[in-house]
Amino acid sequence: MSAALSIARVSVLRALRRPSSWWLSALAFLPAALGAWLGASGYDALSVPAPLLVYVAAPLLVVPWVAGVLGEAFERRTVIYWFVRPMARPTALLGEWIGATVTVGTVLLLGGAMLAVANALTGNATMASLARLPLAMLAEAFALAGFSVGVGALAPKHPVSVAVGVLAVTEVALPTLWGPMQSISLSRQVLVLAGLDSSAVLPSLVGAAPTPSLPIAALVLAVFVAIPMGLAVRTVIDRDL
Amino acid sequence: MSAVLEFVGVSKWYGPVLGLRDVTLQVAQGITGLLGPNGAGKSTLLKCMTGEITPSRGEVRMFGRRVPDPEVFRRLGYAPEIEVFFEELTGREFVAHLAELSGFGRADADARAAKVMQRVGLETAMNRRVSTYSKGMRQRTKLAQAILHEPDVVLLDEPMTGLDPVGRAQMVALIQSLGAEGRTVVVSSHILDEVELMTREIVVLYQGQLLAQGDLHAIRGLIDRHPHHIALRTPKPRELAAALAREPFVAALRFEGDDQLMVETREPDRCYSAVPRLAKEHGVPLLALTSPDDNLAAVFRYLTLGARGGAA
Repeated sequence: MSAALSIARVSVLRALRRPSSWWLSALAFLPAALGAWLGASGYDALSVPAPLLVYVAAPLLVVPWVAGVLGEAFERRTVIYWFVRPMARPTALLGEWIGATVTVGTVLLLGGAMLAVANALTGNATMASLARLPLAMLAEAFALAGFSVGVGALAPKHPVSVAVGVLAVTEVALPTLWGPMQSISLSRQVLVLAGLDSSAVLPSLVGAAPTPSLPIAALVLAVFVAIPMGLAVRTVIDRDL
Repeated sequence: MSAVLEFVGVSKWYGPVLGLRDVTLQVAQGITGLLGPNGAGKSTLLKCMTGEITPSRGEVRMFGRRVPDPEVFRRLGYAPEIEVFFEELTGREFVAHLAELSGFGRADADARAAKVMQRVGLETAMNRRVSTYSKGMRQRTKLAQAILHEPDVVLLDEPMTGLDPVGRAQMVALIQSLGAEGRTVVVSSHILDEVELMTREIVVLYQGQLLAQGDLHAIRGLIDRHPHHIALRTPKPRELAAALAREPFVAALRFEGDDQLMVETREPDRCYSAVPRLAKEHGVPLLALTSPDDNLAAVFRYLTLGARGGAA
């Protein structure tokens, strides 16, 4: 475990020193800014900014940050410095996942908190909603980071394209084509965890599927991570570098 | 001396491309040079040793254990040929991080990193980010991370690449010191003179095949169908040529310039001992006796020519 934590710590350090991390982080705060502006203008501060944060800003932040960097590490073979140490190869994936969750989780937590505060200032929010949105964003960071680590290891040549492609299918294409397929959507589960009225924020999409319970939403998130991570673990154990 | 590293019938294909062909070899303690032109299979051989790639056939053993094995990794240091690191880190942070992965506590890892960076001559640059490092500094950093945990086996893939003459001399000295400490060091290179500076124990690869292994002179013996050349510098080359022409071990004589005589022989040892004696007997001053063959370049050229000829 100490090896994974060391990799996580270095992952955080590297992210903090990459200028691109700071630029990407700005994405997480744009929906909050939009929410504040809408709220101040007398509109609903959440109905557009929240899906924007969950469906767009979070993946755009996490995928290049995590999948891109890990894919590059495999592609440029810097992972070899880890793989000739006395630890199991999947430890590197675990470490990257922990590190990524800390970094992008912090950014999305703050982005969600700012949006929740913007919404609270309209006077429409309860105290519970102040906590649920940031925590749901943290859960999204955790799931997207795991997904991105898996894709980064599985498709190191084009990790961002592959991850974006998969998300386009699970988050947009399938739910649009057939409503019940929203049950595999990561973003949908995050909205449920956030306690947002899904039908209100995305009426055209979510109206066709019943709102899942919290445990089901959490389970879907877990499966969303488990599939790419499981495949990635298997791959890195056997793969020639 | 027993083998530290052992290849048993190792072959590796990259799709239709053959990387290694049925390589069986043993490497003992000390410094071993891994020689071959680009594409000969040197990096593939090293990658098989580190478990980076899995042989298509055969097996690699280190300390009797089949690679990859975590216990092997505790005793193995590896400097790959890549020149990239985690560029956002300083050299010290990078090495300390890898020390942590080798099992050291954080404080111990940092102390080791500082010490090993000092050993490779990067004490003044170790707190700079790796992204600012020159090629030579990167080579030293790679060596530092390979030896930080004082491994029994050190594998160095083209460690001289990008080094200036001073840096090369320092790297040679470092590698020699590792050998002197009783470690098993395998150094790959396609530049023969580099390896010759470090060791006389060599392994020669060509097109994925093991061409030869052993002491430079022993390998020279393997190629005795090629005449050995000895250059003699003397102000009286014709007198010396007349004396040598009667000797049965001389295959051919050739004058090169006014003061050099090139002798071809298939019995170099006899020739080396006879030449000074004959020069003295005939009153011919002998200014220099050198062998252009007695270096890795000649051996390598002969061996690779032989392999090409054999294949044709």
